[in-house]
Amino acid sequence: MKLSCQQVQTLPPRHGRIMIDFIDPLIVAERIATTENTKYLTIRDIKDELRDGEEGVSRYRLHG
Amino acid sequence: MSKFKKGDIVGRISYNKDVLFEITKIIKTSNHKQIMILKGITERIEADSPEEDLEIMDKRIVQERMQKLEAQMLHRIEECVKDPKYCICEAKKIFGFRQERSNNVASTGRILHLDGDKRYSEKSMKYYRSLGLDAIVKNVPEYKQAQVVRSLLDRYEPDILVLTGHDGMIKKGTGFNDIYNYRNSRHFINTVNEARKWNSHGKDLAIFAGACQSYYEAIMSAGANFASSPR
Repeated sequence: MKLSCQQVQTLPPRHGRIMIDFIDPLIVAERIATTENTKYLTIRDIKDELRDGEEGVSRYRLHG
Repeated sequence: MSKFKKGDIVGRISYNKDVLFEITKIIKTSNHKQIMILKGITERIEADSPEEDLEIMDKRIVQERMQKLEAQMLHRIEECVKDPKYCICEAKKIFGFRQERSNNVASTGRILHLDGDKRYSEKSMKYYRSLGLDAIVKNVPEYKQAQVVRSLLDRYEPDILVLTGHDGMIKKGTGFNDIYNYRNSRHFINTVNEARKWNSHGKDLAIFAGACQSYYEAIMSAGANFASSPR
């Protein structure tokens, strides 16, 4: 599987720091690994599966 | 003589014992006091605390939290194996799904995961393996990850790099733009920089880096695609 990363969007810095669960990075990695390389994966596709959603993990958009 | 020892599971009284920590190091100060270095057992956070603010947690509560973490992981695996894209799952056996030989061979991205916590490394490997993912997990302390990442990338040529461990702000609510106000963020940043140098050879690499309260802006600027974000 070939990944093509595109740095198209960042969130503006906001003052606060957050906790993430042990499993959150694993879910992100797993979703990238199993996404077809013709599709884009955004944090909105994953956020419901994470402890604090988009508040907890953010991103640049990237291809699967 | 301290009532605490390395390995004890404790909670911080001033935080209503919201997070369970393991004592990983005990530092004696010049005024004969002791500062405990703590690592979260279900969250990826590192903190310190004077011993007066700590309380040993009841074994039953610790067990409940650990079981909750395990259940969360199993639930996630169970949900995933219902999805046909996970066609080579070890987990299908665990949950009694019928395994059939498929004509479709799914190729998933290869994951290289460096985790500063030994316990989390083992759990992560179990998770990836259960889902039949092509993953390599190495237990490497945060401060060493930058030194070893290039050789591991050369060796495994992954599509996805995950850099985790523990992190935390030293002075909370201030110094958001001071890299030295974060316990391990500088190590994650250095590792991402090293990984991106390797990446410049042509292979695309998706990077997740950071842990609780990490310096999100700097990690993303270094080239990570995902990081634990500011609220």
